[in-house]
Amino acid sequence: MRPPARTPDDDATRDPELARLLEEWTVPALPDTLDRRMLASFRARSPRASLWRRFFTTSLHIPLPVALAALLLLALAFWMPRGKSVPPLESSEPLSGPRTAQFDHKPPMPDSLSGFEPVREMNVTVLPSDAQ
Amino acid sequence: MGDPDGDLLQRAYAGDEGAFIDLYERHRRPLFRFVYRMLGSVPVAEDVTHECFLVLLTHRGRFDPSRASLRTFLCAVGRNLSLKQLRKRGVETLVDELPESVDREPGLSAAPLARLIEGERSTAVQEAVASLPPLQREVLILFEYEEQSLADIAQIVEADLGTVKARLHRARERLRRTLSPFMSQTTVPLRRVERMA
Repeated sequence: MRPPARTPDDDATRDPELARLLEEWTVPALPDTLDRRMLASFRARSPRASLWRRFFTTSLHIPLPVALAALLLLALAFWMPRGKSVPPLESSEPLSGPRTAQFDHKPPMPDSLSGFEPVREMNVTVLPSDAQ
Repeated sequence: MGDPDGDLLQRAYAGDEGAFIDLYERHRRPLFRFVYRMLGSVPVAEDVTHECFLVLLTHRGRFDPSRASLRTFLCAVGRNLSLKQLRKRGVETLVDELPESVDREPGLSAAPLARLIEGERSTAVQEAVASLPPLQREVLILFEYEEQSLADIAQIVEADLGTVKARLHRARERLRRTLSPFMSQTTVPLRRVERMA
């Protein structure tokens, strides 16, 4: 709950003579830079700030050791000599012939599917390789 | 919402720049004055004032309008940041009372009249306030310069009312001793005015 405003009891303790003397100390004017900094800070945090403005005004705080380590890694990655390209593997076993399947005769592709009827029942027959 | 600060703050949170400027202009001077008198440096007071408003903008849940006014909240943030600055300088900020240093008292040995002629009374007051322990200084500044109530000050410095009164009393006693030569100079014309009236 908020406390009450200044009461007469508060002022009763005041020493007018000392208070008058304390008024001799004045404060310098507010620096103009404060207003500019404050406005820039508000704009950078404002939800209405456009994306590009936030992109250019938002700052990231990175600890110095982390930044240095990142720079070092980047430099190493750039200057490190490229590794030799891996030679193709040579097999000790000679290839015993072509292993790829190949159709000698491509099945004719119909121009259209008119008149096509799918089979109602499919019977699969497995033939031995020498049956051809 | 009846509280103009609360209304302005909600609009500022929604991105209303005009509302934020209004709010900032209402509170920037008192806050800057308080921080400057605590720290005695314009650039540092500027930084701390800026940081206080940043806290308000970025930590939205921290200000509770049902508990304190915005002025009180900002002064509390400014007070904590000021004490942090003082600790950085190696100043003891936790004790109520420090031994009085004769060296830091403003020119008691010098003729007060000469200093008055040279216009150094302001400097004398500044030095006398700066020589107070921080816990007494903040209470004195908030009461005498910023005219905050004792209850508000108790909230700002996170102490009970009795402690605040005791610190204020000790601060005034110390200042009366330190500035006694200047006080005697100021009272003469006042007494004359009273007699004339």
